[in-house]
Amino acid sequence: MWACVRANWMSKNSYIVDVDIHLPSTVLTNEELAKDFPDWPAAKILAKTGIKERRITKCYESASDLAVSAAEKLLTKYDRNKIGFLLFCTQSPDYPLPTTACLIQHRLKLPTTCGALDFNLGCSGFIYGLGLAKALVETDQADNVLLLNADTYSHYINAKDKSVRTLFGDGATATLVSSTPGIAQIVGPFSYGTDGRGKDNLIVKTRGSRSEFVHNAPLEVDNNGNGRTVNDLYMNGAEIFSFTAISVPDLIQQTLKKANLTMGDINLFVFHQANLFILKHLQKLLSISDEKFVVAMENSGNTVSCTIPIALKDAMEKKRLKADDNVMLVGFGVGYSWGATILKWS
Amino acid sequence: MNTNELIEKIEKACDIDEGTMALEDVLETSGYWDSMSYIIFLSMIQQELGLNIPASEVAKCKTVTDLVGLCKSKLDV
Repeated sequence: MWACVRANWMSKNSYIVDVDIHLPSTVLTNEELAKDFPDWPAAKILAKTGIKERRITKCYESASDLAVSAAEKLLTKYDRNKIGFLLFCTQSPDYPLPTTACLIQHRLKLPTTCGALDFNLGCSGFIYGLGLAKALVETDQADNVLLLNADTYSHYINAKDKSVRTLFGDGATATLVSSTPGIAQIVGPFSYGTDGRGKDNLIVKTRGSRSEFVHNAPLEVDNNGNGRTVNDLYMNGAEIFSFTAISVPDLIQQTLKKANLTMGDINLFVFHQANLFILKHLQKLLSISDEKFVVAMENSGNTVSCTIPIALKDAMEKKRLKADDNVMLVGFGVGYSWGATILKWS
Repeated sequence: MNTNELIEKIEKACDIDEGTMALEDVLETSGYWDSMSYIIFLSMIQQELGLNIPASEVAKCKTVTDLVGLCKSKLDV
């Protein structure tokens, strides 16, 4: 008995200390988009997507620039010398090599004893990042993990493709994950999933080692009037919707089962903010009340792996979280890749 | 669920007036079947009919008859 109590006292449990956000300064409004796509007036874009405006980087701004700005906001409140590990989630790295996290370590003046790695995930990236951070903290590999999520999908989007241009925004978030010895579990359990058969449904086909950037690539226009070249982001919205509608309910049930909880035990659901239609579909399908469901994408759009921390921050600022609340986070998308976890808020 | 009831639901998904859709309509040239109505249709059949039909199966449908037939085949299982 004593040993058991001692083991609990000695064990470390991870928790989210703080979240900060940085969005680029250039605003892309629905009114501006409506000028390019006359069959989609501003009100229709808002009704279909739930987005009023999204932030877009300039051509010389990188995801790492956004991530550094988000991290600098966070590190005004915490000692950067105590960061033991930096995790950078992006699908917009500075270079094929070196690792962008190494460049960020230097720019943030984090100690050289700090571990750093990139991982390439999209809409599920915050969940995976939290899982990695929890593992690092709870196995004593680092006391404080800086999790940075940032993407600049706008660099991959053709201006003539309304299917993605109306949805995606650029942005970055910085999340500090630390340990608290001897208190109840705060982050976890986790459920993950992967199905690479979905790769073609949300993809940038060139710019990697499988296929190089094609210069002077011809513009191709699909049946819905969306124009893109082979170098640009392509999304099959129906396939992504179908995957989400089928996989997310199962993912939630798996995670609840691991936590020995029911839907009624969850105080707040924070899903990846893909678009309003998908969110409302899932909310209705899962019978989640508005009070327990976060929608926070109106002024930032779908910022890929940043949407969950942005929505979580929104819930924090609106005082929607109380001590001991169970908060379920659910990420799903490109890959296909999905993941969920439950936070015991404190 | 009979054919007319299914057509009414598809008309609703496509945001067109009741009675304007014909079984022989070709989806691609119909003018009402676009990427958004496709997604609304998938959402509708899951919520109202309890059907999880993959988008890849719906994509094979060329006409309204095909769509109705696909739904009926899943409802009969």
